[in-house]
Amino acid sequence: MLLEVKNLTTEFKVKNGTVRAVNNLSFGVNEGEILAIVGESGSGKSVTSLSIMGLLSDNGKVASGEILYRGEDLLKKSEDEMRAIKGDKISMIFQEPMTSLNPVYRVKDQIMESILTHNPKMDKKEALKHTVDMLRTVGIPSPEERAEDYPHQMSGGMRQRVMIAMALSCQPDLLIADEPTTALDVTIQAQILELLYEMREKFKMSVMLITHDLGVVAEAADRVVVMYCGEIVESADVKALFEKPMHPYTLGLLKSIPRLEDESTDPLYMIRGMVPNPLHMPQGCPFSDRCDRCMDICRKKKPELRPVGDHLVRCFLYENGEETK
Amino acid sequence: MSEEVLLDVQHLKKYFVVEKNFFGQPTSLLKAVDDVSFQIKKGEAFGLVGESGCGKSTIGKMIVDLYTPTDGKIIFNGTDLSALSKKDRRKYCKDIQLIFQDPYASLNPRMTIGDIIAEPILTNHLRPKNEVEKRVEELLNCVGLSGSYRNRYPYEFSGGQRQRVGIARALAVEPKLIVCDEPVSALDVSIQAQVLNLLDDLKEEFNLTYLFIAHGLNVVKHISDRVGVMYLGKLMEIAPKGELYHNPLNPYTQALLSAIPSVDPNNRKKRIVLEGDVPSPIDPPAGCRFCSRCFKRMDGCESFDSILREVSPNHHVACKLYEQAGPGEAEHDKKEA
Repeated sequence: MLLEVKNLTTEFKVKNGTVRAVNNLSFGVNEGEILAIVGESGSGKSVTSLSIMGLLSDNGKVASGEILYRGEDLLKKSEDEMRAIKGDKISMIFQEPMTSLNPVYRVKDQIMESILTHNPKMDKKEALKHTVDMLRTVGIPSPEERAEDYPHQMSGGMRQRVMIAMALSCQPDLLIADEPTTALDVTIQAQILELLYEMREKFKMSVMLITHDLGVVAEAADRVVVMYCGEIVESADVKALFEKPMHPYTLGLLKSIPRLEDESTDPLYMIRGMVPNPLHMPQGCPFSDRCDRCMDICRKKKPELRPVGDHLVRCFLYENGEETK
Repeated sequence: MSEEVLLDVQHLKKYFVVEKNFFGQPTSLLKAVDDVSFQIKKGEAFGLVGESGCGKSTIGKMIVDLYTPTDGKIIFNGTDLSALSKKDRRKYCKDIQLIFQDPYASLNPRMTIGDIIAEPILTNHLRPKNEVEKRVEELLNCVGLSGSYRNRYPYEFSGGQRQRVGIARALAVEPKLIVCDEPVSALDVSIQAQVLNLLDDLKEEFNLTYLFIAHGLNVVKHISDRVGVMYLGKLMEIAPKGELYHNPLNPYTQALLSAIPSVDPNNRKKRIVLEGDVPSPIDPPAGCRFCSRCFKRMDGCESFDSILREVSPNHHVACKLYEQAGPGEAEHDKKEA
């Protein structure tokens, strides 16, 4: 296992108390796989990735848990040690290609910076050659000329390609992609997903794909973790998850996507209500207020994540290892 | 849905001036909307789809009078709005309302929800002052919010709830046509379904007509009766939704449909992945606007005039592939004249 997150809890201090954005989260990323983390806003999926990269804002901190990269705990590393890992072994691409590039530096300088930081012995000429090669690999036409561009001269799709080129320039083992296609148009989204897939094959890396779009998950992932209110509610192989979603939340998410094949004019299925306020979580299962199959016990006790068939599910419906009808 | 046409958009154009010369004459134009014509019938929901920069929002803004058209007509209920004076045009603002994309930016943070919804009622003198409060509560209930929320401020609400407030504000003046400009794209999946269902219900309840603008074909599918696909300021295809989704004719529509990720991991389809980016609307390609990215490009596309032709009943396509289908709309107009 390349990356193993064990009992991770991340908290943020806010004005009215402490918000637990990620609660006792455990999962792993295997070598060469694409793991998708799915959830809506506020489910803690981005905080998970920021915790791994050590990029939490000042009011946030990892309260407990371990993040093991090849067996070493990243949380115990010093800042210098982390700096050597970030961008070299683990790199990240962000949602907003518009804001995550520096507007006052040329594209080539930004990519070269990360190459030169991690390969101090390389000379500039060589780094530039590598930069142009990377831009070509991610499908930017006439890369020699585009390398001289500033970010504002490029379109959103192009900038996301530059971000990917930068992230892959040191050939990381793990790429964390935080909503890489959310800000892009559908036809460009298709291009970028295709590119991520190709790059995974080419560089033999693992990808942690964070998204709210189950369509993107079905297209790209090998394994899926579904998060709700900072916890895993279900995790399974991608085929198993889409064939037989078990947790009512996963089921609801899948049903509420407008489908192209659907010909009926019936109202769309909807999950009622909304995500609870993190400062006032319900006592029992966090999803209980919105669940169609809520039982008495759901409001009193919190369910545990337990294996059911080839899934891991956190729901009282599967208390006995199979679905209670 | 009746046969009566509520909104008739004819040869609508909007050019933005990018550069001027010394004498103030434009030297470079951004053609955001370039000769677009379509009709919306009473009680219909018309979907307008396209990628960023295709001009779909510009059309919406011209219809609600946030932009003045460069050329062309917007005929609403038999009246040509673009020919009216500013003062007369204003009277129609009440009939055509807009729901905005971003529920975080479209509500005044310093006004309570109640004041936000009451404002259009008071401006238009729709109710006597003492009945306004009751009307606001009624409207809040219509969109699924409790009437007691009227003294709260926008920051106390989630994105989905704010979008409901935006909808209530649009409904407050009892409009005939609502332009929905990407009303769900800023919302979470589970909330999207709630808002789409709400819009669907309100359409029935208040006899509304929608112009529904979106960037993905899957969202529009559920709510619209007919769909128009735009690319770089031009309409590429208009068809009833069943027809469009089962038998897309324009290669761009085919690519857009194919780009939607399927929700079945066993069916990872071979997608049509378009090359390159949308060209800049400042110097759009000559001829068919899509020809620089088209996978069915052939000789003559560079000089093809993108005119919608009726290929089968109610199915209009602008593409060189279907040139033989019959005379284009422009030629039709000439004959009538």
